[in-house]
Amino acid sequence: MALITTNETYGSKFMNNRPLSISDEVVMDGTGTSEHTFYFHIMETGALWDGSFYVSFRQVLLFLYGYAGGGYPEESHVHPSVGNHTHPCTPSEYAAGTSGTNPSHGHGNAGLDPTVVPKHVEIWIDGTERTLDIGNPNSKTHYDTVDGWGDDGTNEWSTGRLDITDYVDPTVQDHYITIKETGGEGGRVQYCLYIT
Amino acid sequence: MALLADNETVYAKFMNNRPLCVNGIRLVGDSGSASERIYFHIMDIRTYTPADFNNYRHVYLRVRGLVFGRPGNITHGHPSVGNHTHPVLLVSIGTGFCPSGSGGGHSHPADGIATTAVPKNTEIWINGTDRTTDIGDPNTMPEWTGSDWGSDGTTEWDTGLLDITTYINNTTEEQLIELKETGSSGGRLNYEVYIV
Repeated sequence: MALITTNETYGSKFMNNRPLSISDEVVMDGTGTSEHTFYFHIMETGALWDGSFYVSFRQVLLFLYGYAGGGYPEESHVHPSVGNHTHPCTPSEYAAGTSGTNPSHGHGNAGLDPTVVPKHVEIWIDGTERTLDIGNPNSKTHYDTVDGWGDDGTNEWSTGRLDITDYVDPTVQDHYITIKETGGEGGRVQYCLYIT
Repeated sequence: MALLADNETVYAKFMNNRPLCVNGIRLVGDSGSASERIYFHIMDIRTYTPADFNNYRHVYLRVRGLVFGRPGNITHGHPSVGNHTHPVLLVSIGTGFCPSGSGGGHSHPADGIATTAVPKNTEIWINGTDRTTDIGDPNTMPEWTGSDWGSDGTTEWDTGLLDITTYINNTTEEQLIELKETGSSGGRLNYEVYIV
């Protein structure tokens, strides 16, 4: 966000502030306690903006996508000579199973299947869970009204545009969003955040 | 992007909407079916007619194929399995998968790790359609194969700035670019999307 001088009108502040975009893809590890936090900052809040004006004229928008292809989760399995041990299991290694290029390694724990989709994903904003407060304003499929985004671990999902302005404290610049996968599936979540 | 009033002129819309940049780095596996998704949104797109959007806005994409993706396969002897091949994992040799010492007397050679792999035969899909050859190689860059990006799996490549405006859905805000690595090399993809 542009840093605005104090003698500008609110209108010009609104018009002159650039949109801020933050996006990334994160991999959930399938433990059911996987979470990722990203921080963002609204530079002109605080000294230059009063809360009511901010809420009236600015928007903080969030989009989430859940899809398959989780990275390289840890897998415990039996090795013919080593015995039980744990290491990251790549998708190709997983696919090899017990008969591929790694014949005596019993990869194949179903819970680590790289085809799974994040399940029961929660949205926490500045330390408070807001999943159900935000809800499903776009009437998207695969929203669980109790547990959040991703209802079955197999179908991909997207939230559509979520207006989270009301849950972002307009008096401080430092904010963070935590995405928690509680369904124990794994997979990938992509987030796109815009401050407009 | 700023949300603008419908009665603004196209020029004003153009001038008041600042460039948006979405960028990131993705590690891609060597399965030959790795597909990396990049979601982004053009918030103000509904304030344009499709023609105006195409006339006054541009969407650019630049992709680079770089080395050092997921470490590749190594072949080595195993005391009970014999010679076999498996992926070297995202841990240091000797501390992770089949570590020397606890690995039943076999160790992994340091050489042979395919950290030099570069994405090969990479396609660019936009909103579900393969646009690789439609976009082509307007900057006459090396490593363009004539049909996709990355010719040999070892030489890094750069598409240069690609104008993908005409392949954007100019009636909806949500857009999706997919980078598909079909050459089974693996490596790293660096992408930048600019909306100006």
